[in-house]
Amino acid sequence: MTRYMFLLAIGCATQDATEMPLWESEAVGTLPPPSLTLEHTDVIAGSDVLFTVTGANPREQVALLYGAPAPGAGPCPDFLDGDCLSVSGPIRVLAATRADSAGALNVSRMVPSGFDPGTTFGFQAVSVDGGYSELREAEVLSLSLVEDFSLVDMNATSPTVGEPVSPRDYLAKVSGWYFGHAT
Amino acid sequence: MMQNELNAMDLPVDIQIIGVNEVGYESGNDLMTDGRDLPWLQDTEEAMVWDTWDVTFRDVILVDERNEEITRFNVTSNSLSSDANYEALLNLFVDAATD
Repeated sequence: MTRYMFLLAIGCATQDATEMPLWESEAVGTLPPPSLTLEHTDVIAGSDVLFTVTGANPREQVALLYGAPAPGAGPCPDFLDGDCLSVSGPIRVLAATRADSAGALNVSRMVPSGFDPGTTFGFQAVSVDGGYSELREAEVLSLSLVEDFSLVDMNATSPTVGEPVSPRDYLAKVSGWYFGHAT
Repeated sequence: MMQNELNAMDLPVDIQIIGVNEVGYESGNDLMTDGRDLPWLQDTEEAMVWDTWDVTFRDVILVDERNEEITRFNVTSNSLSSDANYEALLNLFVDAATD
């Protein structure tokens, strides 16, 4: 398997891959393609999504793509050595960055509040060494989130004393907000 | 304390109770935090969380893992000195963490 060097058009959520090449490639050696795993939190309009990629080679360049779900029917770039992407156009680059020394990376991206609920997107991670993740399909959810804020913890014996605290700090937890004061 | 009880249940989702003091009652912070280690936040004129969350004094607002409001439980109208009310609030948390 040929390893390729990406010259990635560093992505942002609005970049349209059909308007410019996602990358150019140059053979630089041989490594087996890593098998990537992609996980993400719920895709909620107006909220952050956390993407976690594991299984890359240490410090490897990884791109996180999204587009229409198309299992195995997307473009077939050379670096996939005959395999094809599972997202189709327009394919956009959510992130293009290096994995850490353990071959993992975390990327957080805000879902624009204007995204239509019910729209389904496909996400896929691909790597410079020809690895790729399974397609992850997600429907955009529209939730009635509590209004966010950031207030300082005043309790000297609290673990978060002096720090700003926000409801968003408690995503993935249940939180109970008591509104009171000494009378 | 309810937080300790919830922690001891080893529920599938963690639960955290947080207090938010009303603007103008800053002098009561020491009293409210005495002997407690829960986060106690001070609302501000800039944030006005009490207004934006449209709270009633002594509301407990339960929020799920996605940050959606689940329900409200007022501990003035449902005093926690009543075992039944205490159990009712405890069960709301447990249900939220196990649904």
